[in-house]
Amino acid sequence: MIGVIAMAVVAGLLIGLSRQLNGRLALSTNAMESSFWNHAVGLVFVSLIALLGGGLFSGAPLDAPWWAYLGGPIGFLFIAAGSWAIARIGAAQTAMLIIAGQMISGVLIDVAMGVQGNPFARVVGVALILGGMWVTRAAKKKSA
Amino acid sequence: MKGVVLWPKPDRVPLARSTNTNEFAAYTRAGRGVNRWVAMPCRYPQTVPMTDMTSPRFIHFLGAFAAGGLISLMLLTNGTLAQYGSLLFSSWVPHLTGTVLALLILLVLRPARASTKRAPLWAYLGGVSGGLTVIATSAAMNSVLALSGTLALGLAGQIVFSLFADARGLFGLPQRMPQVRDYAGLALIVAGALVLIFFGGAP
Repeated sequence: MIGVIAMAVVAGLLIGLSRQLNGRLALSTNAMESSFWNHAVGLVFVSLIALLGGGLFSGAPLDAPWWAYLGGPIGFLFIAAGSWAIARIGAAQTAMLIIAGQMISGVLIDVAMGVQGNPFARVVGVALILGGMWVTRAAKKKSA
Repeated sequence: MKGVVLWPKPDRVPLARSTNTNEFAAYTRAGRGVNRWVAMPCRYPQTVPMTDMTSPRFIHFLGAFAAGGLISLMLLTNGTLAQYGSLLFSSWVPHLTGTVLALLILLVLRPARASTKRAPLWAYLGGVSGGLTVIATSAAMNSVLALSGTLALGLAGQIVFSLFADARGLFGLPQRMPQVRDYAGLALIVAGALVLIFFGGAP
């Protein structure tokens, strides 16, 4: 149990580490080039693991709907945006805004696709997140 | 040394100038050349100036928020792919198509580099960390933690890392001490995320 908990926390740490490294690379290059290297180096890494472990093409991946293959372009934009933002607003604010965007869009996608959910919890959760974003923004206006 | 600010290292200066008008004013007062690197009087106390510099403007705010929306779309595409093929395949494909697209965009747009100085080699390793994330996440998701537990603990890991990274200016990014309003905003967003993760499902 401790092992899997550590694994999940480490996954979060790795996300932060990746964004920090990509942000540093963007400082010397630019956000788009940083996103390119993230994907190119990641591709080599995942390919190596696939060579070692095998089973890359198991299952019936060609039966998947065409739009399931669009993760790459979305990921390119995501990494570029993260590298761009982290150098300007810092790691903590980047992380919390990404989390906020992920959670709220997740609810919207669920609602749009008719996924069953607890409406009360959805309203409370989204309200708390919007409140958190407002606190960050509202306090800023006084100092600016 | 209250009220005296040492200027950040050279490669951090463009950021300070681009995001903060106050610091820009101070920068021009100090003059160009060697003098701008010396300690200079400043009306902010030591720990405060960075906050102004790093306060999000609306466009930064919107950019990071929109990036969060992209994650949700990626979860949808990559998750669907994983239902048909292997988990590794669902990470391999977006890396491959993302690399090809990025290469095309770089070739067509040829965006200017921010610096003529080369980045340190370790700065190119973000993709390795990203690849390991996929493995760690899938291992955790297939355990008793399930998706909700993995998401919640992952949030915790991300937040702790980002606060520490900001406070220390890890890996050459600008250092900034998180302020009370950062913690307040963070607490609300995490609370909202936890409500959605653990209670947002079907009643």
